Amino acid sequence: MKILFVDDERDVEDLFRQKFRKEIRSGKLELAFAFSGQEALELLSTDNPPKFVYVFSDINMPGMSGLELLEEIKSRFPLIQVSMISAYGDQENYDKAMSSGAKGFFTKPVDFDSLKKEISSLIEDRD
Amino acid sequence: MAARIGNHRPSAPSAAFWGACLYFLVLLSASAQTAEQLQAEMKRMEAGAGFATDTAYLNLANELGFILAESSPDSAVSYLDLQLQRCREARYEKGEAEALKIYGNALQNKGDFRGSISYYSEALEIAKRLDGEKLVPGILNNIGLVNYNLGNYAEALNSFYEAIKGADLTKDANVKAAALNNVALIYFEQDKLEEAKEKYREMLAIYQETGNKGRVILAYNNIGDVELKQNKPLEALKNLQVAYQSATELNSPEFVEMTSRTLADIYAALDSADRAEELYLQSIALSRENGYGVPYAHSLIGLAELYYQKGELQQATDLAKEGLAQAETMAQPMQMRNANELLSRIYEDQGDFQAALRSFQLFKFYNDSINTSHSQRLTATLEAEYEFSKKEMEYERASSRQRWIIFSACAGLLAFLIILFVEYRNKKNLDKAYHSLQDKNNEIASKNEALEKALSQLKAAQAQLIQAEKMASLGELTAGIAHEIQNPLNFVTNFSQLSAELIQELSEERAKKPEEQDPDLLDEILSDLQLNLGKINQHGKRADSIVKGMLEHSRASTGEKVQTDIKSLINECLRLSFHGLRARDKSFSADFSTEVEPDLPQAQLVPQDISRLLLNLLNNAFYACANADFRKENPDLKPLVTVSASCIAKGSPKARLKISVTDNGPGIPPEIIDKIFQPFFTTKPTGHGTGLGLSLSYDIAKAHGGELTVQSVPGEFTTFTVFLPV
Repeated sequence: MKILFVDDERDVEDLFRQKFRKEIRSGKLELAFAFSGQEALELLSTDNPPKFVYVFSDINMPGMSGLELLEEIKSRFPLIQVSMISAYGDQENYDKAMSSGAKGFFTKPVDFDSLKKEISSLIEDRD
Repeated sequence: MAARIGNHRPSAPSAAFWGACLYFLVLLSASAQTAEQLQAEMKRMEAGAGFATDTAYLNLANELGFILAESSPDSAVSYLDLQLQRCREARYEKGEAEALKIYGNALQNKGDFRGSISYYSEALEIAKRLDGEKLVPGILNNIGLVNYNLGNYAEALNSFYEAIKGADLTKDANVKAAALNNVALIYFEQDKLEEAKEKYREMLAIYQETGNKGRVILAYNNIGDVELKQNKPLEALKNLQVAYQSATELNSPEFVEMTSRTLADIYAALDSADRAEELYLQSIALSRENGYGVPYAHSLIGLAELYYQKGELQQATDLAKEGLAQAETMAQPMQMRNANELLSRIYEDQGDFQAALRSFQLFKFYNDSINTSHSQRLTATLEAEYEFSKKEMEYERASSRQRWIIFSACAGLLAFLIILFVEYRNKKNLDKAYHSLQDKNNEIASKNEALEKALSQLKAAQAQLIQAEKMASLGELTAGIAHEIQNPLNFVTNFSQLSAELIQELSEERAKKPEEQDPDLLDEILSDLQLNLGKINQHGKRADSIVKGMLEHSRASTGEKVQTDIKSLINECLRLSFHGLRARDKSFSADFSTEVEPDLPQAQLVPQDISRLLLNLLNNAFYACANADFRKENPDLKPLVTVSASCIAKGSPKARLKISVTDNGPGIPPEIIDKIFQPFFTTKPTGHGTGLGLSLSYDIAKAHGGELTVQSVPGEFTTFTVFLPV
């Protein structure tokens, strides 16, 4: 199962690779990282249909914002699930994300347990 | 012939007579009392004891003597003998001089010129001893008249001149006028008729001023006389009509006689025989009644001429003979000549040639003697005139010298006063100028003080404004700062959590039997742990730097320049600005890029100032291209802010750091591009900007010895470029 993380902070990659080390090792999970909305869309477009099933995106990014990316993915790849991870857990962002079809909304610092639970449930669904 | 005689005859005797009369009139007008009143007054005083030595009584007696001398000179003589005796007994010199003079008048009126002059001389001697010599000019005038009547013109003129001079000194206008009259007589004699008339007019002016009716009449009479001699009988008539009218109104026998006689001469010249006759008769009657000797002879001969013209030869003969007899008593050659000339014509007409020849011979004799004496007189007169004018000139010179001295003194005094006034004014003006200067100095001092106060207030206000601007921009940045701190904190949190998990995992792995242990995993965990600790450290420092930057930003600038890495400064500002805007405006979306030259040298600058400058430029750039309104109008445009940094003229002393901030917003309209660096200039809605950002940025660039410039193409881009010394 392929999951895409989108964040302009590059250290996010290390964070999630370590966090999901076991899952990656076991081959249950494959992680990809994009550092802007544009990059994320390019990755998603490389395969048709895309291999990614889930996208976690930051909201505040230069250029295309996470919410814009959400709308784009939802229109182009409706099957892919998208959840937002933002430092700003305010109602406005939340409402916007949800109304745009986001599956979940996580705030930074990332609560690994709930994130893991989300991903685990995803894996179980596949299994 | 008759006309010539008629024209010639009347003037001299009438003027001479009336010249003598003048003095009397002075007193008459002064006392304004008639003979009857005077006699009554004197009688009253005679009742008291010692009246004969009372000066008041003696003065009254003299006044009466005056009136008698003029009205009936014969009776006056015996009266004046007694008066003289009284004055001498009373040792009243003034009265005596007066009485002597009046005696002279009486004798002169009787025709006794020689007698009169001895009395006048005696009077003059006494008058000169008296204080003020007030009687002197009048006596001199009378002496002049006697000399005139005696044909001694030189002496006469001398006397008149002395009289005028004396009258000026004693301010006796009446005597001066009388003397002028007599000077005019001499001009008359010399046929200087215009000059004579001028003197008479001067006299007339004096009399009109003093308001003496009698002498105004005299003046008109004499002017008429001159005009008659000038052969201007109509003009003469006008003057004499005035004079005769006035004399009649005044009811004065002297003036009525005089004016009637002159008027008769005029009418005779105008061939108005009836009127002339009537007037001659009036003159004769009055002259006979009052003992006017010369006028009597004149009018008798004038009337005789009239009758001769009418052909009434007998009457003419009688009148001419009577006139001749009178003239002989008066020793008047002019009248005797005129009478004989007329008689010779009458006798010739009557056929009595012997008598005619006798008369003609007498006429010839008197005529020659008159002509001789006339020419002698003229010679004497000319000499006298020379002396006279010399004296007159001396007098005038003396008086003009005196006048000059007085004038000089006055002018000097005036000049002194003017100088004093000018000095006073100057001093006042100086004082005023000094005071106003002082006032102005005070004003300037107080204004200066006020200005200094205002300046210090302005400086304080400026400092406050700068601080306010800092705080405002800090507020704008807060969200960005929060984000920028939040992010590293998140990493610190997450990496530390992970690390804890890794250690747990590590422990679990090591708890396994050695053969079950996965050495690769252990290595991996250890290397991850190392990485994580590095990340924690890195993000901790990052947060630290942000907080320090924030503190520096809010603190007042120390102005201390430090070596600064431009690249990291730019990145920090860019992120702060971006996230700040993003945090405040959820819909905000913009891209940014940096083009920083590699090996960019470090620069010596005040980091908090330059970061403020950059933040201002960046905030403006993001706002310009990514604000909601602009994006709504340009939905297809991707907002982009590009920051580039390079070093120009590298290696040379002119090396400069060039940092540009470009946005693809609407651009700045050319009409306001000059104003954007002015304080308080803003295009943002009220309450959204202080208008100080660019102004302060400009000041910061300048304070670093650098520059801040702007380029903009509306609809394309805006680039702010800051040049800083390396």
